[in-house]
Amino acid sequence: MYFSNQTPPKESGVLKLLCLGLFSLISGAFFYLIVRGHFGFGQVDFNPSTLTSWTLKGLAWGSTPSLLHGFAFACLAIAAGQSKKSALWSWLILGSVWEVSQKLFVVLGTFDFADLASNALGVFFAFKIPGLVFEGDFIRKIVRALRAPIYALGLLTCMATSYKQDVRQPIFRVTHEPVFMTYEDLRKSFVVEAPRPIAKAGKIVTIGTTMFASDPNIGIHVIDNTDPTNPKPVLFLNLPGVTDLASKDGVLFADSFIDLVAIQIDGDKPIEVLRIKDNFPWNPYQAVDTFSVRFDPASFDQKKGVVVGAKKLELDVKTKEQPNGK
Amino acid sequence: MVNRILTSIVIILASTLTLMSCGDSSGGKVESPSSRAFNAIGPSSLTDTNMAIKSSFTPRFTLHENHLFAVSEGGLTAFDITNPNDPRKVGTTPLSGDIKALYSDSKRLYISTDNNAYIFGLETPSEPSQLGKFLYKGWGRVHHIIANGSTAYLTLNSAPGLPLGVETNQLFSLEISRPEQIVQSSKLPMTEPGGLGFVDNRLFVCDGPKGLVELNVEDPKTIKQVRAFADENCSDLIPLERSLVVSGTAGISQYDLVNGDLRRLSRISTGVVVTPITAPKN
Repeated sequence: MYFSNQTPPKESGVLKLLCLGLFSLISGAFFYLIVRGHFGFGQVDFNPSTLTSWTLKGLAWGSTPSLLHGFAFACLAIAAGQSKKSALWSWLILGSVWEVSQKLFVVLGTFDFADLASNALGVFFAFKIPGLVFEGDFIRKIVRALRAPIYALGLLTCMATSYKQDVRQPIFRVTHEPVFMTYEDLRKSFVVEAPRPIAKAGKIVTIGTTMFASDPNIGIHVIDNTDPTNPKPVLFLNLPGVTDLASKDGVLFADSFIDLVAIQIDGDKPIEVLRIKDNFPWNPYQAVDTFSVRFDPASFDQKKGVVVGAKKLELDVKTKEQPNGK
Repeated sequence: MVNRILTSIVIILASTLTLMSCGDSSGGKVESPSSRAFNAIGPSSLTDTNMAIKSSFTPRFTLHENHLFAVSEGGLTAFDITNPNDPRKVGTTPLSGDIKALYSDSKRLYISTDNNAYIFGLETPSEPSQLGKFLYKGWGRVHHIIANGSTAYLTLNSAPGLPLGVETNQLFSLEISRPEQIVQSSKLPMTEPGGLGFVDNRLFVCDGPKGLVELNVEDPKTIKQVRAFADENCSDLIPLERSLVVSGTAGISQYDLVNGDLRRLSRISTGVVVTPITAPKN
């Protein structure tokens, strides 16, 4: 049943709509991937607890995917619908009812006025695309047959754009809390010990025939390398936060989290002769596995010391709520 | 019209039911795709407190004659270590972005930040002067840089990596004979590149699980892999007088440089004290 006052769309119009719709859907997905840092890429650290949906930043971060989603499915609805107006109205009403219904069924996601508005805005943009005329031909028949799946997909993916954890919660789930070592403890932690097994070898430097290998973040292995076919570990220097080494005139330079340490080697026993405090940037992720550990930025209290480890947080399994979530 | 409304109602009901049933299986709540993906790479295998599992060391300072250059907040700090027991801070060069790699030779300082390579002149080491800058299209968590006369080599280790639009896990060779105009001469895709080192004119690169890799860099425009020592998961290397020392997850291994056949001389394995290797390994 065609509306008499509307011109039917041409096949090219349908194609254009399909392309636009898919393009905007994909852009929405990239927004999640890159800007919002989902799936572990893009690593954007900011404090989400300060982000509300009614600031410009909050709107941009929270509602851009909803806007793209609304626009995409408005386009697809026109492509699959019988007339532009009826398609837009049906999508607008369906989308809005769906969004509002999330207030009732909390399990589906969260209700947000910003999402409602962005959906309407998306529909409005789709309405403003010029040059769409209706006509029944081959591609159009296929697309029309897909109308029900398109609507169903639109409503289903609507969940993703308004999922509870997404909008004003940490981008990454906070998984661990930092374990601190006070600056006092750090600065008296240089200890000469008996050799111990290597956990992981990092940077290597030599002084004469003595080889020094950093065991990242743990300490330094001292190895007698007079005979390269038979190197002998002779000492272990306990130095938390060490990664890089350099040597000059019998003095070994090493980093220890934020400090630069000079160790005199040519005596009987290695001695810490100097420590330049607070030279390197304070980095809470230096000693932890950055792929699996995610701290709450609010827990970065530099006065407490350096972060030497991570303690796994017990999440409430029943609700999976985040500690600083809404 | 009635038809359409009916269809819509059916769709709403159907999808609600689907979602509800999904929700029940995951504890009464629908899990977003993102959190599921994150759980998949998440900390299931970790112990309660984990310490020092970060895979690679980060270059943070370099020595040049009587000066030590160290990464500091907002730039690069120079220390005068003429008396190594008493380093003195002599100046700070501001640099934007995280400094990820440092290397110095007799005259110059080579720096790699997030996506720029810098060359500084060291005529007055307390105030390095910027000679050139090169913006490369790449991204890595850990960088290593080394230079050899007219060419600088830079590795970007990006594991697990940004998937789109930028180069990840690459070795770049940069033509630096005119530092004010640095040109990229070639690049070589790698697996998880780490430290670099020259033995005469041979360039050795650590390439994570691919092991220690020897490259032919006679022509920096066409870098060729000569061979790889795949038994080594290596992160850094240092050529000594008699041996090439390689460090990595396997431990510390040494390869013969005297005979030039790069036979493995010894290995101190991780977790084990010493494993000397007596018989030559072919």
